[in-house]
Amino acid sequence: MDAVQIHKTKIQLSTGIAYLFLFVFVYTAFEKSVDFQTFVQSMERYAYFKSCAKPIAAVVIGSEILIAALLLFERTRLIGLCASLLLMIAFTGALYYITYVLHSSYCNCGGFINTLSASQHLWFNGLLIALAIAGIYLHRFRSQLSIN
Amino acid sequence: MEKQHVIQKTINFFNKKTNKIMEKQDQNMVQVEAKSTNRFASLGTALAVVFLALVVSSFTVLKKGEVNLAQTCFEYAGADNPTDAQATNPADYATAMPSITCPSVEATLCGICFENGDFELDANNKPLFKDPITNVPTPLGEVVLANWNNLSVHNAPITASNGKTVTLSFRAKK
Repeated sequence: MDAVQIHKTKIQLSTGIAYLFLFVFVYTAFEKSVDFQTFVQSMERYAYFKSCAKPIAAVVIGSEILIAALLLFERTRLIGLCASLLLMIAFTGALYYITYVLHSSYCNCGGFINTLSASQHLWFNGLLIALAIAGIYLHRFRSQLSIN
Repeated sequence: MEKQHVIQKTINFFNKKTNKIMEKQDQNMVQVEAKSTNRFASLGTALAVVFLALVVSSFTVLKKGEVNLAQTCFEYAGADNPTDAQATNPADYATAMPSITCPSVEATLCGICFENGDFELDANNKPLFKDPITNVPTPLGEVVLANWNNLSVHNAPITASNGKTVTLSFRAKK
């Protein structure tokens, strides 16, 4: 395999990772938006979030839609991948706090993610964080190839 | 003769230069076209991914709606691993909704769903578990208490002694 082919494969991997995040964010944002009241109530469960559950819920859904829009276009895909990484770190931090500090495990994260146990959810988030880092790393090869 | 030769050489020189410029222009055109085609293809794939995500999530939402539309549910909003007193306190329940979302993993109370019947509500439209005067648990309250630690009845419909049906929904263990 020549250098150009290797570069192309790396770019394809980076694009694939971006599409994965695009799918996850559109999927979960749609689920949360359709059942917005339940999502807000699931946050109100925790005293810490109770007073500002609605704005936080709106910000979470808004961020997911914004990041999905960034991942949609090639020019903004790198920013989208970086934002995905930050959001996944924030989600994982919140999940860790809910699981190990509040000793709860109720998460209304949308769709199939709701069916995961706390530890499975943490592993899933960890995998997505690793993929986001890999996507950002592989994306830099795009600039090294004249035709992208 | 020599003059003609010089002219021919000059013409050849300019022809070569022109050809090189043309070749470069052609290459640029190919690159621009390839970039443009690639961008459109990439955007098309991304839009297909968005469409797929919307279809999958719509299917999930519709499926969830089908399961719960006939029910009236009260989501438990109290502390994790509640005591019996907390679990049967109407104030610890949110207002009625057509559905609640709980992972079907046994352990802590997520809420209760009434599947049929004109069930009892208190003055605040919350599920009634105890008689407000005698403080005696209603049959429904007894059902909840009696099945609290019985894993086999989790997420299964239970018919209380008053003929009403209730489903206990549980969320993941802490």
